[in-house]
Amino acid sequence: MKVALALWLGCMCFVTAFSQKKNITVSGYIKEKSTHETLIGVNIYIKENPSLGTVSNPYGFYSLSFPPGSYTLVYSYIGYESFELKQDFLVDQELPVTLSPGILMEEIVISDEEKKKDIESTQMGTIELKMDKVKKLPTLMGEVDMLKILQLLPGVSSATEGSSALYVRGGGPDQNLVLLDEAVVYNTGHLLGFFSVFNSDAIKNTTLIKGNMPAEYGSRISSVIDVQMKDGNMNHWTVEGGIGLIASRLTVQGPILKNKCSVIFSGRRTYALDLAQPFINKTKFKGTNYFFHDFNAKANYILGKKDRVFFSGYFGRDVFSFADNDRDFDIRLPYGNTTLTLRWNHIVSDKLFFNTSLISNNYSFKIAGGQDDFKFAVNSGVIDYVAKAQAEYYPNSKHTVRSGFRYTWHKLSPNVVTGTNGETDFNSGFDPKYGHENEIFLSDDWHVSSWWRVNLGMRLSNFIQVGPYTSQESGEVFGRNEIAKMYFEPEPRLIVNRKINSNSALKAGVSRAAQYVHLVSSSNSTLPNDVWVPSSAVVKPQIAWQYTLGYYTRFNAWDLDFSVETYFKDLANQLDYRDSYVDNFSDELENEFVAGKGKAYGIEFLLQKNVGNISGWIGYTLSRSERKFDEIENGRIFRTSYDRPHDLVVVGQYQLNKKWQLSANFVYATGRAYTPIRSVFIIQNEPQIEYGLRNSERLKSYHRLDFSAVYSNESKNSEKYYSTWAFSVYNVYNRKNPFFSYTDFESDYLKGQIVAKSVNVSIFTIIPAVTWNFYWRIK
Amino acid sequence: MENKINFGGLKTSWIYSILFIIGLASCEEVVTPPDLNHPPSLVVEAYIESSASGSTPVYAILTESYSFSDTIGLNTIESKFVKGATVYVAYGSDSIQLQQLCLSDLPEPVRVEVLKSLGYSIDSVTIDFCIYADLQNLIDPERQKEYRFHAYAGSRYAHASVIIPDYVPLDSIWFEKAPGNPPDSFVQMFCYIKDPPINNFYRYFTQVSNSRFVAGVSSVVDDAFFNGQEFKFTLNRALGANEEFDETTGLWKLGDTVAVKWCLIDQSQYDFWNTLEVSKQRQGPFSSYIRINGNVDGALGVWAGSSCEIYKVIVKK
Repeated sequence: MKVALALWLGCMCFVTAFSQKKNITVSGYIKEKSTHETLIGVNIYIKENPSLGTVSNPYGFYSLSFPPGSYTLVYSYIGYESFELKQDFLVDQELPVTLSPGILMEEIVISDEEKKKDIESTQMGTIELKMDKVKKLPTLMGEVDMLKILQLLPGVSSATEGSSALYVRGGGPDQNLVLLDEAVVYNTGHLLGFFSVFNSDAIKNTTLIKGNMPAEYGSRISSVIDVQMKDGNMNHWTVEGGIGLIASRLTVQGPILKNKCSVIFSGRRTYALDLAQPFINKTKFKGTNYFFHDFNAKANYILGKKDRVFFSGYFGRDVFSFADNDRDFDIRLPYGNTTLTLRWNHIVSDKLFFNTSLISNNYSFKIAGGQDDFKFAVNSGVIDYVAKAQAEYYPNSKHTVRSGFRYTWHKLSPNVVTGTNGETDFNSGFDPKYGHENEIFLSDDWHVSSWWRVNLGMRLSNFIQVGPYTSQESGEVFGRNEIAKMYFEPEPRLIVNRKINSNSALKAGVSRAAQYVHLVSSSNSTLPNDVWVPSSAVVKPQIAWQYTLGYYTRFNAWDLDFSVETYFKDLANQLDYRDSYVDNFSDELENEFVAGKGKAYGIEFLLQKNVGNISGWIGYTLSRSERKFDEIENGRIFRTSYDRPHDLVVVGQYQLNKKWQLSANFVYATGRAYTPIRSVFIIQNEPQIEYGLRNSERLKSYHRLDFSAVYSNESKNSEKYYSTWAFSVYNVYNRKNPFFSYTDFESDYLKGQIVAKSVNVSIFTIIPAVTWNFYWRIK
Repeated sequence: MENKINFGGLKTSWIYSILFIIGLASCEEVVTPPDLNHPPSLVVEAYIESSASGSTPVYAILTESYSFSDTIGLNTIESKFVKGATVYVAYGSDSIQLQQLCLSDLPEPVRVEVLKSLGYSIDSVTIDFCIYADLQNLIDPERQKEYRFHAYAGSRYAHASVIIPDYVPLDSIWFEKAPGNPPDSFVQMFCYIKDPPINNFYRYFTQVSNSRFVAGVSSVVDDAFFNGQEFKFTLNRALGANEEFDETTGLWKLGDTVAVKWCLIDQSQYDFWNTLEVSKQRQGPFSSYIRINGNVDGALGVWAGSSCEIYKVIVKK
């Protein structure tokens, strides 16, 4: 960690030494007028020379340098009234700005930053979601799920229907860096992944970066999902919430000291089986229940003009319990994430913004239960402690320099099994694994000319596995903090933007990324009991090279934005379980892995209409995702289970009038790949299955249509209270999309024969839902 | 040994299956899977067992696999037996050829006894089963010795090797009241064992009143969790082929004469039965396929070398 910190400070000194002082600088925070929530991604530019511009950073801070003179400075943000300031700009100036939300109508899910960035910026494969827009789309059982909305975008899919696990451009679910206020979230799903852990009422902004991620992001090789919590209303106390089929929500936020300190508390909980308890308690299953809950809390304090402190946390749990009192048997299954983030924003100067964070996150999974004298427990999980610092330096209008370092202490616990049987104790004997992960980065977003823009970055990452650890290969024993294995990986990043005209641009990018913690699932989708393992002498870091090429254009006459991006990913050290692996909890997991290679490539088309009464998007992806392991089927190349050659999504929203908004989604995807049955053979007078080649066949294609209608009584006169009713129908024409397939052997004793049957099971048939939401400003 | 020492038996799939049953309605659709159109595979099910109380003769069943669309029935089973193969077992410098024997080759009184020992009555069996067996009991299986299996069936050749492990006995067996509220006439079996401090793999069968020995749903366990320890554990009665799951499942009826066949197996056999049993259980919504890990080169199936003993007891508290 000390070496990383020294390198970073050296970079900062080097960069600041070359700043120029001919221009004047305007800087400050941009906030929403009513709540004083900071606004991320606001466009700020000189009206007389739009090439001079910038974007507010993730903390709402901006800095723009330009020659002194008389200008009109424009602040523009989708969903908000633009703000223009015409004056003489002759000296450096601190200029905080508040923007007012626009009138109802005319906004959709995909923000207008997309429109600007696609042409002007060096970002590729980047989408921003605003929760207030997302809430009006039709959803499964009426539960707004930000991760499921991301699945409606090209290049993003799920392994199984209803799952919140994301597979981005052919990458596995562990290859996505999911951040909540900078804390890594290791398990993103409740109820086996059917609902995400993110409570939409607590979220301000979500950014998805599908590839060629900027140098400030690392640790994962496929994508970044950066979720920002709301900071808390600085002006008014408000209460909002909703009641739905599955869960209810309540959020309270407000100022402790007006315009100085605010807090937000947001909770969500299910209750379906709680309501059934009176009936369950009369059966032998008394004690059986299931629920999940999320709790988000955040406090922020403005220490002064230059300093602001944030403290945020998330606590989520799934709790399942089952009891059979006739057999004196019970089992409990609690699991979930806890994250804490302490951040300090400091404006060093009008050109230099600084953020320091201390973070902890804890994911734990447990099964415990027993019968009579026998008790058992299985524990697994991850604990991280993180220290990071990041600086953004705006030396002039042509450069935005970012640098930083991040240190993470990892403790990863495999399935530790313990039990007692009377006086005897059992223990699987597995110890947690420890590692130190260091990262340092430097990048420059360089506006070379009005036609060229380059984002050039370098990230250096390092992972050190330390003891206690015993190498299964060599038998060598490493003591506490003794270095068992070290990896060092350079991760260069380059994106080039060549503008063709004011409405079109061509971009190309190449990046290398490394990943040191891994999740290998033995199921078709991620499950809460899947175990994270670190890199070690046995498990090498995953490496990905990604090459992308994109064309972006805007049709002003129709307010349409169109992009096509093609990508190729070359993946090394991919992990899977060896063939015939069975998880008996008695194996050291890293010895059960096999390593191989992967490739993922495709082309994504996206056509969006972001303004007007009718808005939405059409996305189509043609892609392929494949893997190859020498130890699996003798190195045969096979498709991944989340390979979807064709993926089409159509999303439409229609603002009927000020009260009603209608939405519809249509989704089509090639059926999921699966491993077919090759033959049936008899052992001990019972039929057994011989499977064919992995993922060599496909289920039938998937498609469905969803509708929603949202009624809102919000108006100019309803600042203090309004409510909405959201009516939705999932899978309108009741398409029986197969969720999974199983084989059944039917015995006919009269005929003396057994017939094998293959059965597709569909779970999500037509599902109507209704949710009531309210907003109340107390004072 | 279910849900007691066998942590490996604690499979997550049944937990999640419960969640689905509770939470969600579902629709099922029978589909015709793709016909992979390939020739049938050779299947070997061969056993060699060492027992102080007298072993079953070494025998092997050679069959062919079925395609998915085939009906497994009276008309087809007989045709799937592989006849005329050359099968032998080699150990050290010796080798013994196993003789083909079909039910139709036996005189009726002998046929009745053979079927009875397998748990069938002569009236219920219309198929002419065929096996390859050491009819003269020339092989006396010994523990800690390697036995190699070879089968030539036309152009197909299958072979395997196994070392019969040393035996670890059950120290004692007794019965106690079952937990919860079962019927009064049913009790739970307890056993005591002293596991030696080396890697061992166990398999068990249960028998009630001279019926067939039946293997448990999760009949195998390795000693990773209790290596070198001595302890008591419950042993559940295996579920019969046509038996439904009810409140007495796994329990023993007072007054019955029952038997436990307690075996030591090697790792390759453990892997076979473990993957076979889990493959059956793991057909849920979140499971991926499990490829059954046989130990026979050139064929599906198993060359099962075991060290076994039978414990007969009368069920009483």
